[in-house]
Amino acid sequence: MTQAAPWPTDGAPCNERDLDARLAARIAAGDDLALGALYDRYGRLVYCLVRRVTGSASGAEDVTQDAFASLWEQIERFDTSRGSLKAYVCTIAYRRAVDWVRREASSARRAQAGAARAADTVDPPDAALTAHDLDRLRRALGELPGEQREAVVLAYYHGLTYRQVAERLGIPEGTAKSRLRLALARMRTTMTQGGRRP
Amino acid sequence: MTNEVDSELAAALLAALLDDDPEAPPVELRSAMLDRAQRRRPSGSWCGTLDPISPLEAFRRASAHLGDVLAVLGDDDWTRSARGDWTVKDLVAHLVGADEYTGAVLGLWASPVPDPRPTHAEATAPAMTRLAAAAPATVAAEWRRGVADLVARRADLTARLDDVVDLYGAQLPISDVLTVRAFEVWAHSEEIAAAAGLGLDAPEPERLALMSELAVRLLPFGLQLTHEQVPPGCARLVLTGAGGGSWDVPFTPELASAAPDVVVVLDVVEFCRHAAHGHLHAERIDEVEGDRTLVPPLLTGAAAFAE
Repeated sequence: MTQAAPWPTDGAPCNERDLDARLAARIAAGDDLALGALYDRYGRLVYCLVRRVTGSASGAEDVTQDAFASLWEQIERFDTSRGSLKAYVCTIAYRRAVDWVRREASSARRAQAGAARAADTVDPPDAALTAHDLDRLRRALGELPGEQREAVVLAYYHGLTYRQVAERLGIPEGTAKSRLRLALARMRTTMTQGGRRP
Repeated sequence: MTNEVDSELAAALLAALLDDDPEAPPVELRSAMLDRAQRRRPSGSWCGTLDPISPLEAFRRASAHLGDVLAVLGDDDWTRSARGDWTVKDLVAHLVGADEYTGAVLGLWASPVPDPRPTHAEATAPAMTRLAAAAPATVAAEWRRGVADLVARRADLTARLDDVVDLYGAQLPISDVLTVRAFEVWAHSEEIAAAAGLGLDAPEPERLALMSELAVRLLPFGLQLTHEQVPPGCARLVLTGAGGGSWDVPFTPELASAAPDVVVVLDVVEFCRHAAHGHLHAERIDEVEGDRTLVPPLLTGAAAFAE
């Protein structure tokens, strides 16, 4: 029997914010299939992100697991009005990655000095995301046309969703998406021309 | 923790997005992550903190809420149609009968349980007949007295929550009987509130948790009752909102450990309304993933015990 479609269809068009809200509600209800779906959407990005920060494959695996498990445990803290699930899980992952780097640095110093010391002076992101990386990013961002740069800053520096970027810029959501895609492609080209990551 | 990303995160995120040769995470990381997540919070459980209540407390709260509704009714409201041919007053008289019958089934008072066992409507008919000509205030007072009599037996009932009794032909532990009654009082409260043009308040999460758990647990029996041949399948029911949760519902016992064929997502209050009244509007379902042909039998089974 084929059911007519009185309820939402599988894969029905859905904006990012609605999709985030649905996934968050399902995760809050203890639906591990939704957590798996979230991982399928953002797991690779989170892993790449924390791999860069930690500079360690095993560290990245541990932090990636921890980030998603933390989101699962504390999903009620997520607020769709303040940003996307992607930004939220990346924020958790980034902070856990920084903590991981600090712990590793602290352990290494203790091992060297034979005594425990505070690790407050470590600049964690520099452990893997080098000054060279940041220079290249800054340059690639600077070379973008103004409207693309503005979209990138809103999406990745302020954590806005596609819809929020579109609203802020007064453009359709589809235009915001394509503008960001073009911007990332252009930045990728600029960075490739400027030399691969060491 | 906020959703704002700071500039260093943004740089790292952009770098990861721009990586033209990103390293894929190991395949086994997904299952390891799911294992770790479940150690922190078991699958199926709602994420918030609930202060569990007993089924008798759920019944007391549901009755207290109905008492609040009745207290603000005007004289005209009592004659309004609340459920089919029944007026608001008829519905309250029906609850008087339900409390009397429940007390008899639970062995709380001397009155015997009729044999053969009556249906729900038959069990409450004597009270409705007795109160047919009574003033609304009299009906309300009798209902309050019946509730108070039941709640006053807290110690006795708490000691026997696992004892199994016959309620309208179903063999249920006393704990479930009390949850069924909490469910019924809430459902009728909503009908009375709607008849009087009052807003509908959702039950508090603790009460919803008890009600939704029972409704889902009874679903396989509901499927058996409503289908000559239950279709094979397993549904994941995701009830969102405070007091909700997730359950895998096997349509038949041999599918007890089967992976879900369909995921159905809807608000926990809407699901409880459907279980109570049986007329869920399709647009109230937030999401369906998978074998959609299993949704109609699932909904039919869920409403099998709707009055």
